[in-house]
Amino acid sequence: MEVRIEHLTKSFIGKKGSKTTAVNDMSFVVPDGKLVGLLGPSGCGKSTTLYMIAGLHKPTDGHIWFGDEDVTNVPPENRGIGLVFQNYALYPHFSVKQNITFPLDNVRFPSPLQAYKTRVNEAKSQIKKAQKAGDQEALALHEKELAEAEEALQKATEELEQIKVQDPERYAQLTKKKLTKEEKDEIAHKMARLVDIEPYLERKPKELSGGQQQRVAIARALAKSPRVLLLDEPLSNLDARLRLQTREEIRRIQKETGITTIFVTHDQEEAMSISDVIVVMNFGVIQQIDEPQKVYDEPVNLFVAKFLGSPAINIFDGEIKGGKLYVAGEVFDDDKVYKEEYHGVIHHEYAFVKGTRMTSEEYQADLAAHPERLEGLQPKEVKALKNPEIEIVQEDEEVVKKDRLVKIGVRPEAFTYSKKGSLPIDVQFVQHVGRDVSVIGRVKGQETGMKIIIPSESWKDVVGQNELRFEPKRFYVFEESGERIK
Amino acid sequence: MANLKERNEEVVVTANGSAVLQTPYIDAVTNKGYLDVKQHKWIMPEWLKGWIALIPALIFLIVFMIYPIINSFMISFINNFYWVGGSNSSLAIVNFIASRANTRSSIVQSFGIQNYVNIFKDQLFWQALGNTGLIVIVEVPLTILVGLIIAVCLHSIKPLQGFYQTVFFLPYVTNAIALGMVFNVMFSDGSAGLFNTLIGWFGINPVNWLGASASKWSMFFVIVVYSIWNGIAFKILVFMSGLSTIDKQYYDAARIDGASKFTIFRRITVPLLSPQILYITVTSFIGAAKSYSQIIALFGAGPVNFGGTDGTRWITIVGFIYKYMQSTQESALGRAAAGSVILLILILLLTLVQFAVSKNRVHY
Ligand SMILES: Nc1ncnc2c1ncn2[C@@H]1O[C@H](COP(=O)(O)OP(=O)(O)OP(=O)(O)O)[C@@H](O)[C@H]1O
Ligand SMILES: [Mg+2]
Repeated sequence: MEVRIEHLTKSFIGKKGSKTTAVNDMSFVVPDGKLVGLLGPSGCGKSTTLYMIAGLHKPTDGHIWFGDEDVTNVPPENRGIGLVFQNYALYPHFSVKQNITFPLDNVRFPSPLQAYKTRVNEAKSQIKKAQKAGDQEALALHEKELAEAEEALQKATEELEQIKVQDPERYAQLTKKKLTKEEKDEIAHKMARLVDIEPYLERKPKELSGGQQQRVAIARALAKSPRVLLLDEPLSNLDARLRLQTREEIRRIQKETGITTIFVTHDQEEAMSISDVIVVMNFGVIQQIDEPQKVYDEPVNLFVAKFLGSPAINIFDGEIKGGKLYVAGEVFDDDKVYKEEYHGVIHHEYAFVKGTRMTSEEYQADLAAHPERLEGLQPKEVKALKNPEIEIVQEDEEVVKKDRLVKIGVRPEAFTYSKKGSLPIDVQFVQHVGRDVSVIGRVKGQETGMKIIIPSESWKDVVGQNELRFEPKRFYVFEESGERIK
Repeated sequence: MANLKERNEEVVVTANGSAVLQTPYIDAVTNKGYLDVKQHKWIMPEWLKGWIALIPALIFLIVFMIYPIINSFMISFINNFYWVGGSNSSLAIVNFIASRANTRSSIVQSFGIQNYVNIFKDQLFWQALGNTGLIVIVEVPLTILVGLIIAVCLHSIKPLQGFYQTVFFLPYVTNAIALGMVFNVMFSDGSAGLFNTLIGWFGINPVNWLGASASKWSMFFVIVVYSIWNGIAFKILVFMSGLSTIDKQYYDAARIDGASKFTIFRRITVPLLSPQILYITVTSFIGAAKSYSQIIALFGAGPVNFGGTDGTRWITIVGFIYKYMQSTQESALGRAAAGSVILLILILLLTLVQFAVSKNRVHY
């Protein structure tokens, strides 16, 4: 089942009328049978997106498609989804088995005649409509349809009666309204085997470890054979080792069942290791959709570059001058992209809601540290900034520039040591850790710290030096607004 | 002062060999008092502080609960009990000794179970027991069910929640007797009564609800309605506070699991609310077993009237006890005491049974 999200938007209206846009115009596709990782920092709208797909939140705007079916207004129970909550939400008063079978208890099979009856009713209502509109042609058409439908119903009823006499077993199977206890037990055991919790079926959730609870939650979500499995940071409550183990388990279960899955996480490593495709979000907006390696190797903007990778990417300042890229006063790179003018809009985002994205203290401190951010703002906007209820104040500045400051990103492992390297580093200290040598320092004349990881063999070259030069194997150049240039 | 430990600052040698001056560590719950040398005072142990804080409550408990219970227990086992003039004691046992010394009276007090024999022979007691039992059996489940449903409804509505809450809490702050008078008017005889008017719209003839010649069950109906209305506010309050502690995610999960509203109520809400339900069940049982004021409020208190032509139609156990306490009949007091002891034991048993039954059904 392919899941398609189209222009999905969700705004929450606060008590005082303030508006929070948790998800903003999101579109992406989860291919059938794939696992998509929804990755972003805390509060970026991941859960909100998932809940909209689940049907627990009603989208403010946009559509959700499951295959060819528009499920935007379908209630959660009819969507055929399984959801694993951020903190599992296992029913504390049920045993593990009851937790797994609870969704099955609610399954109701329609009568085999249901479809025929629906057709009859549909025809009847069409006739009424046609009568009201006085449309003779349509009336005749629908009356014919009604006759056919009634005939079909009659035939099906007779057929069913015949089965009742000839094959009572089959009749019972056909007219069954609920799953029997044996069937439910069988499914419970099957699910429990799948997630490896069969010995604990009679226990209460609180008698299980976090990892076991998490697996019960998956079993419950899978019990009804959903079309789509949704997981909301399912590993966030587990310790590091269990997290690693469970992550692989989820991947195994997903592959085994071939179920289309959306996996929410704020842990980039987790997303990278488990997903077929990663959707990176920030502030409710999609930043990049790509395969994990591609997101890592080719980040589309500064946010994605910074968010992925551990240890984090090194970011330092550069300057485009006369069509060339300079770092620390030396030419760092020469390329025709630097000769192009920059036409763009710089988004400045200053204000943050109290408690969610940045506390008011942090925000005040941040403002105090950067008074220049207030420059050029209207007095009204400045006042709005000081009101912690305000979520984000955006000022869009249009710019056309040739010479300008830029940010350069290089991953720690993407350096080679070279006496002729293009990047001069002031070394703070050098460390030999395991197979690697890490050099901690700063780009000459700059403030931001750098971490450079090179192979052990270079140890004798770099130890005891105050200044070293490195050559980046690959690097990314970003506008100050975050947009990628190269 | 032998077991008081002296504590002072002590020198502690840390792991790396340097000596550090440390103030002594004081347990959060000190079981023994000790002398704080620096402050020149005795630090009281926690348990003593606890007892001192409890003293006022304990005094009230002894005066108004323990003493009367022991006293009525004594009285119930004294045959021919009467208060001896000039015995100068309200303790039944002292009074008993004084009565033995009192040779002028022809009535001899003695230990025995005569009061219990009398009470079990008393037709009125069995009537009171039956009435009380009926009230308990009908009122308690109904009031819990109604309270639960109202609480769940109140909890789920957003607009006007405060307004509805106030409406349901009104009876809680209204005097029971005043409420009884209102009910009296609502259920007054003839076609003028509010309720009779109401059922008149549906073509039902006026009913004599509370009059002396009213049927037993019409009176019962009013008693039950009144009792539920009178006691429901507190139950709603408890249920609502319980509901607000249930994690909303269980409901989200249940919706995804395809549970209907009724299934969610029956299989999620009720079990998760079971501690509150148990509490309300126990207190409602006790309250209903002690029914008295509702009946007086409906039928009038001067003279005490429990409905019907002889004024005892809906007498309850407490009503029975009260009636005999007031009575000048011989050894009536002993019978009242025996009634109260029986009531106490019944309530105790009921409560124990409830706890036993609920053991596997309450999920804390
Ligand atoms: N019911 C709500 N009412 C108002 N604002 C909400 C509501 N739910 C979420 N939000 C806001 O929407 C934004 C996104 O919330 P969401 O729960 O989707 O974040 P998340 O990405 O799942 O974060 P986390 O990783 O911490 O779980 C947040 O700023 C949050 O404050
Ligand atoms: Mg979340």
